[in-house]
Amino acid sequence: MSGRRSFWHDNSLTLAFGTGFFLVLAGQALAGHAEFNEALAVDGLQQLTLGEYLMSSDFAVDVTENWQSEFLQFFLYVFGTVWLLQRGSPESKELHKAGPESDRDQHVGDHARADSPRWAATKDWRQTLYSRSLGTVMAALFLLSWLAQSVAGVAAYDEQQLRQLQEPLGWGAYLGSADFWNRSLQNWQSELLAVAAMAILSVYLRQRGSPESKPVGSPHGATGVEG
Amino acid sequence: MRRAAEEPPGRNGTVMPTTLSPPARAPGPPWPLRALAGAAAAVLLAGCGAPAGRRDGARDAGAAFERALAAADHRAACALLVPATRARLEQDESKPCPDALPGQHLPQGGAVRTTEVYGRQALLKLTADTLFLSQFRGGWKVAAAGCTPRGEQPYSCTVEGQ
Repeated sequence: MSGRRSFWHDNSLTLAFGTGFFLVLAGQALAGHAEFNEALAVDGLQQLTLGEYLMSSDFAVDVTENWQSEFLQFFLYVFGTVWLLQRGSPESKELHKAGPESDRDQHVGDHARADSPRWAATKDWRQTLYSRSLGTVMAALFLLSWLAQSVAGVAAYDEQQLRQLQEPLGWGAYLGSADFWNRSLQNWQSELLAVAAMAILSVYLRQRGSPESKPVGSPHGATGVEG
Repeated sequence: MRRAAEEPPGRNGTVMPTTLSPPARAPGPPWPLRALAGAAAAVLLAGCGAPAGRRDGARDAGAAFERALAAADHRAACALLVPATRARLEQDESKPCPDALPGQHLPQGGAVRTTEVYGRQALLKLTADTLFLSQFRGGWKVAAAGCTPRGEQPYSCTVEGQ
């Protein structure tokens, strides 16, 4: 196998989804640009070029409101599955392992291996931080995206207010507005539904070859088994 | 989604030693943590960016509109109106804008007190009037003038395009 093919083979999950992300983001930009300009044309206002639309608050809020909910989903999932279990689901660990587990099980501190990440082998704050780094980064990305949604959202909302000859809101007032919470909650509910559906459907259904599924022949009651 | 912990074999298929002393050299933070710090800085910088140039452009256009009205230069004032606003005025009055504008009895707005800009729209509150402006390729233009607030309802404007 050539080096290039090996790189694709070893990283195809990240590469495929990363490429798909940029393609779909480009599609969203084109569709959003067309929709935004239709509204401007109705109001008799200056239409935007695609480049101008990409720098607009309207595009930014549409992007970030989806980002924040995805990172919230993974933050909740990463932290929640430390303690929360689902009998029979490959998304759950075994029923007797609820909690952060022992240092031996987690290969940290004195139990670190030669090939463990270096911060896993420490015994101070670095081990504490690295032991929670996946969930912490997801939480931080959620908060950053949500903050960006609020900043872009108030600009987009107020631009619309001015087009309708209405008084704009400040950022603080926008945080209590129906627009901000409608954008947030409509995304959160869909993420929570997807997680709950995955947790319970994977008890009874299988996808041959996928690590998100149990092996096809595994019994429904087997927990913490991945294909 | 949860991944099963992988147990890497040793170089010869043997089990690796299970313990290791902490490294003597303090390692730096993992790269995702450093990337996160950069992303946080970028969001904060983007949120703090004030459109000073656009605010000045909107304020200057509003002031120019008021100067034209004060000088009874209605042709110049009409040139500063949004095309849709000008078209509606001409349609409602059935005469060219420079002839229709004096009959609207727009107030002498006076000095600009506050300027708020969001995207390509702006709200100018003058001493005695309120203007709505919109940004075009050739600069800012007045979308509505002679506007008075009506609580939760949109402003009531003497000249507007909607």
